[in-house]
Amino acid sequence: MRGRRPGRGAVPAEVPGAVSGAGPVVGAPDGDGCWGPGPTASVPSGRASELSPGARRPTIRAGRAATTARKATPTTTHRARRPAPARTTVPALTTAIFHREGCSRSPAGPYPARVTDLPAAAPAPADGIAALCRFLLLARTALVVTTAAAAVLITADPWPTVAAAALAAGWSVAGGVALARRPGLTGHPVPLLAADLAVAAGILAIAGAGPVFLAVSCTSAALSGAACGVRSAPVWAGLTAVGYVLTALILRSLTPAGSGAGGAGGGTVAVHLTAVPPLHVLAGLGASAARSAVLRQLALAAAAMAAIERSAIAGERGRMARELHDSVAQTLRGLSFAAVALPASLVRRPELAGELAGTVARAAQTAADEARDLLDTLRADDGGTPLADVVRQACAAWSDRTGLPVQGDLHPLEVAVDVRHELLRILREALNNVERHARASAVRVDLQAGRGAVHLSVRDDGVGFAVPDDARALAGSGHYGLIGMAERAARVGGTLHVTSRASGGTAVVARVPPAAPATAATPAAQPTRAG
Amino acid sequence: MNAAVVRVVLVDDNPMVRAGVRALLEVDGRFEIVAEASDGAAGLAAVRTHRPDVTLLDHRMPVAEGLAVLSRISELSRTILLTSDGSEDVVARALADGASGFLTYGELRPDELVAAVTAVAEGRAWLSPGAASVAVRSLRSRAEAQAQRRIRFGLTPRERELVELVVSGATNAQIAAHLVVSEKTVKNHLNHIYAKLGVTTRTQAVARWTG
Repeated sequence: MRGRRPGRGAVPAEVPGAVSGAGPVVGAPDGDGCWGPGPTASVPSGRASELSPGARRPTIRAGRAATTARKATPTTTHRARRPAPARTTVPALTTAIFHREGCSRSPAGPYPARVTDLPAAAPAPADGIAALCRFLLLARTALVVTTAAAAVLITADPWPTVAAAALAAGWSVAGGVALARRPGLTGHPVPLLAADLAVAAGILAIAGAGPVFLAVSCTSAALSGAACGVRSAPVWAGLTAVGYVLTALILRSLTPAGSGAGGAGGGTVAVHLTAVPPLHVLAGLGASAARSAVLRQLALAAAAMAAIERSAIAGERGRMARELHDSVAQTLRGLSFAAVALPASLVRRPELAGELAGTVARAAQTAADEARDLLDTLRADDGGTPLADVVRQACAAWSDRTGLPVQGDLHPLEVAVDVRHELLRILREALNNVERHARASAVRVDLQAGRGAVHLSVRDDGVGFAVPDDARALAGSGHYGLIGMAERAARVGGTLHVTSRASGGTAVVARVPPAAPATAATPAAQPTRAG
Repeated sequence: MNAAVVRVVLVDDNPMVRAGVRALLEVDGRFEIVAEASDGAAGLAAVRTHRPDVTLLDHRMPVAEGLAVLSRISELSRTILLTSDGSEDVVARALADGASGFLTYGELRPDELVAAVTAVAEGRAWLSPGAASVAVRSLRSRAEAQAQRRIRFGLTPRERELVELVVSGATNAQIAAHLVVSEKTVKNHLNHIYAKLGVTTRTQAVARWTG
């Protein structure tokens, strides 16, 4: 009389409130409640109070309870056999609401964003420097064009100036385009700067030490500062020296040798002209300051990005660890215990050995299923696709695999990351249950928003809810999964409603808030306290 | 043979874990699993119905956690917490609520489970090493806190001796006899002690000193 069946003597009254079977269905309102507008609508009014939160009567609560779910069987069959007045053909209706109280299975609060939710990585330093150089080239182009226009208006022979401006503008635009296409060019600044200085020399040859050359040489200094920082100070100094030489030549041409004419006016011009060459140093310094600011900004952005990524990865990793612990790790633990007991049983209690071997095999199969399920979920959702699309893809994949048509309305709506995760797991589990147990010919999956909640429903037209007698069979037969689905819904503050009728199909409806409440367990527990 | 059978109730939400633990215990031959339950509420009900010798109770379960029902279960049955969460908080609460044993899966060897259930059934306690170190740490920190408090009052060794006698319920006459001094001296000491403890009555002094 050593009971292998754990529920020996487990009569429904034993666990008050934990389970109550479906009541007798007297005058069920519709013949095919499974395909009705919703599970609540398919429930007779006499039972409706049990479905509403805050019901006075204890609602049907199931933990991940093998015992609990199993106990529904005698009740259900018993009630089903009771003659229902006037409508003896009404099939039994099993309704259950699952929710959870006081369970700390998951820490409260939404998870950090997924890695895939993040914007693209921070731009590389080369991109920032290239952008700075492009800005300088643009400024130079604008400057030389303006200068050329002024030369046309003022000078008697503007053509050398115009030609020089065209050369400068053409070179600058070409440089800007090249940098836009290949920002990596800033990694090789020396040949580019040499070319730039060569162009400046050409302009000097064409138009002399005029304003176009000044604009080009100053922006050359700035470009070198932007590309190389203060290391390019020799370039600025060289350009400044060239500037002084040119200034001296200009002054000499203004003041004929040995002549005192020009006097005070020539001196003023000389003072102004000598102020021009140091502009190269100023431009170079300014550009190199801008360069370091850009680089610092980019480094900060990259660091911030990395920190966000780390915390997102940590959150994701925590969830994975919890999932692993709750499923595969626990199952393997049981498996290892049973495996340890098996050899001992051969010696001490051979009559148990066969059963133990069965337990080991079942546990191994369960662990494999759980691991595959976990991996499938990981692969199925990259986090960036709209929820409705992911649901559609999951349904399509399932339909392809099983050959069963899936229909339904999938409304475009978005939910918090953890809610989305649990919804997708519930969907997967529900479809798996249909595949394994329902023997259905069609499935309907709906995703809708309503009254502050998101409803995901999976309805089939299969054989309905048939709870096996043996508790051990529950885990493998999907009722374990049903309870797990209820826990998933509760984890994000929602509920799971299951409506099933013998040979009339099953409806599983998850109602969850779009974002998990701060303490996920509390709202789920409230209806229970009221009851 | 069945005279010495230990009747056990298993409470764990994972059916495979239950099956494994059941296998380990049943193979030993000295245990009978009289019921299994998959959440705290069902576990309490099963314990009420079956009155087992030992209850193996998980902590993290749906509907009602292990610790939420532990105090009620431990009134009816010796209880071993068998869980994966060996955090200090859980161990401390479990021991305070009357658990006779604490086993964590991470540290559990299969033969230890049998030994633990046997020991607890015989009225002894069994802690996994992690749980034991939590218990030792908490006892030690409590003792240290008490010592710290007493040093703070600045009582002399003689005064400490005297106040311990007061705590033990001795009258002034008994204290005088015990310490071989006059009652007058005892009263003098007591007045000093009251002043140092900042109290005015004997009862307050005892409360402050032991508090």
